[in-house]
Amino acid sequence: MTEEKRRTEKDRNYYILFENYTHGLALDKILKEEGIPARIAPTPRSIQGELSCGMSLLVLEKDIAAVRECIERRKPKYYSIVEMECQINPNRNVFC
Amino acid sequence: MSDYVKMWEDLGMDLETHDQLCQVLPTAFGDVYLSQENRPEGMGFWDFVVSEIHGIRPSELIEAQKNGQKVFGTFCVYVPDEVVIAANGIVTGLCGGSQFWVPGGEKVLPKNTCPLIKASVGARLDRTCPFFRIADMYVGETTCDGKKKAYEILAEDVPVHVMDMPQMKRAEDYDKWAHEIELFAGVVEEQTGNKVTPEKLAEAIKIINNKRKALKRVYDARKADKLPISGKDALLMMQIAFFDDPVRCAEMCNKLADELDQRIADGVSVFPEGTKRILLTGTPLAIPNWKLHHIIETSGAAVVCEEMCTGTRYFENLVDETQTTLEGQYKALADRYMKNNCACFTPNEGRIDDIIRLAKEYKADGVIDVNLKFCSIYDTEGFFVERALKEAGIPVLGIETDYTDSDAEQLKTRIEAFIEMLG
Amino acid sequence: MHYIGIDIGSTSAKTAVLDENKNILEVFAQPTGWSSIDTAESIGKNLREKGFAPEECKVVSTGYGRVAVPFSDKTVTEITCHAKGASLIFGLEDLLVVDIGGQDTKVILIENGFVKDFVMNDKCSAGTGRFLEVMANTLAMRPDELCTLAKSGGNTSISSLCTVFAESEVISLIGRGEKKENIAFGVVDSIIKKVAIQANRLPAGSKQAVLTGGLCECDYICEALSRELKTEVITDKNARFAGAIGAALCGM
Repeated sequence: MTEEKRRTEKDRNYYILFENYTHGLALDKILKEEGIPARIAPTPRSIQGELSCGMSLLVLEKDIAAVRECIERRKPKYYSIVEMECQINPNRNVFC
Repeated sequence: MSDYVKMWEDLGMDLETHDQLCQVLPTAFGDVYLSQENRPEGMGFWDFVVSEIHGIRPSELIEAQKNGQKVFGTFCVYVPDEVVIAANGIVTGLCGGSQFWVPGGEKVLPKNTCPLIKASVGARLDRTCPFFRIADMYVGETTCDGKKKAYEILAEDVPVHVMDMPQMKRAEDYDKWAHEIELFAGVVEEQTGNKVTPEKLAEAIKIINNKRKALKRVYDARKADKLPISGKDALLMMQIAFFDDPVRCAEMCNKLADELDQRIADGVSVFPEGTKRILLTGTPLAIPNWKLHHIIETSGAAVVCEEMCTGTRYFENLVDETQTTLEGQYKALADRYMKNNCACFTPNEGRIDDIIRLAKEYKADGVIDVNLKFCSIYDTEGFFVERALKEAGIPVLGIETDYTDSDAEQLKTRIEAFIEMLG
Repeated sequence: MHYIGIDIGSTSAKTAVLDENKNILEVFAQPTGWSSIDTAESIGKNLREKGFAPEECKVVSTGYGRVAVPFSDKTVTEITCHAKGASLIFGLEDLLVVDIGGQDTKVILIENGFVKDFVMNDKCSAGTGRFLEVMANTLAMRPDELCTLAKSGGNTSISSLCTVFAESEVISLIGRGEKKENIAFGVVDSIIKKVAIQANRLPAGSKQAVLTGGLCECDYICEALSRELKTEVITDKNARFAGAIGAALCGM
């Protein structure tokens, strides 16, 4: 069998949070234009706080510097960037 | 800013219980979907829809209702969306695919009812899904005994219209289904206050045909030797197709298909070479049921096609667009829908032919025949499915499962062994 | 070069060491206990004491605890391993393997040395070693004693397939004063019938049927299974190590 390439806890993930999805989609569009990888992701509950927006942008550690630089330059609206240990685990086998 | 909590409250939902589902979804979606590498960019749309799953589309539907449109909730690929759209109504799928809703269903249903029915009834009665709250009318159908009786229970809580499905495919059964569609049109007209005219129905037929063509384009891309998309991603697209606006759905699927075609031209694949190709056949996988795809695709194989209601049965065969009278159109609709091969028909040899054909078209190395627990018609038909595949020299694994996580390890062993068996 | 196969099952962990000529150099078993990780560690220690340092050998693990072996080079499912192991043990390319394990029972059809088809029990312990263990416990016996005693019993059947219900059935048989050997017969008969239903789903034709897994040391199980399947079922002293031996072969 082939083991999935597994990200470990050592990897850092960055979630960009928004007040609403319009802001989120706008930044997603900007990052796409600039060719910086980011994926739309449901906001993890542990960092969502009082925000009612379900979407966030998931950025990997290797891309976060480019994202920050891009945000600096193009000044899109966003709420915050949260760094956390990678909690994605394809071997958990807990579904919903 | 969209405040969904207010919307859910207005819908009379049980917020506290609903929140439990909202809590686990990001983790499960992360494990299953975001763990994948090199996904098509176009999947961003569906990732977005999942992120806002009980918010964005429900708020669109509520907005439409404020403008006088009616929402019809359906549970089966035999119910013709075209008729609803022709009367300026909206269709939304209502099948429950999570264990979260099952205990609610078990309050009123026998334990040995299939999880799809239990989850659907639970989602309504426990008030934990906005789509089940929003729909003005549920449209049922007599595909199986479990559903028939469940609709009677639901009808005590919400208006339900049940279409009487033929269970054989004789000429008179086609006529009967055309007649049922005509009766349904009458119900829809009454609910919406709008007339179904030949012009409007012709337009609706085109809309849904376009959606079918777009879904098919994505599926066709999965026939490529180098798979440009995972089975999981294709499944997500398919599951959400039941809930989305059909025109937008077609647009997004076409966009994704364009990207996949480009990937095929560039030789981009999301799986390593030599990954075994699996055709899934059997009972539907309603959202968010991603268990089997995930287990298969983390065990060294890829799902290349689903011969399921959440799969080829949803988009194969188009409705004849040349009819200009309602009578001709109802007949054309009946002809298309009756081509679907559900295990509720007897005999149902057409499904066996479909499975063998799809296994060849999608170059499947093996077939996994999935049966949702207590679905006796698909379970029994599995006898013919497995026999025919063995005769055709195509390895097959029969699996019975439900929505719980508890059999994940056992399924993994079975599926890994099956993949090892494929060599 | 030595090849090590480790089969961590639900009840016991089996280890086999083979040389490159497929000679079986060593086999040993130990209880799995509650932690597969601790078991794996203890296996590693045992192997080292016997002069087979895992890091110098090719190690393949199988069984439900297969992912818990830190020094394993690869994992293969127990289906493939049992098939390969049984082929070697019995020197046959075509055979029907019946493996009655601790919590699952598998029937594997092998053609030309390859798995052609297999059936596993559902998430239920009927027809497995666990069923036998629970019933033996109720009768205050060891599982092997129960099997031996069953030979001299008869005329009793346990109708419940569910282990929990079957246990209360056994208790009521005890309460009725039913002879112990008759109850033992009923218990074994229940397992054998369940296993046979599973085996009959696979078209074995004239292939030799073999029994592997924890129960193969009991003659009566083979005898009862032969009777139920209407074909001679054979076994071997190494048959309970079939999974481990097959795992070692997978490393070659």
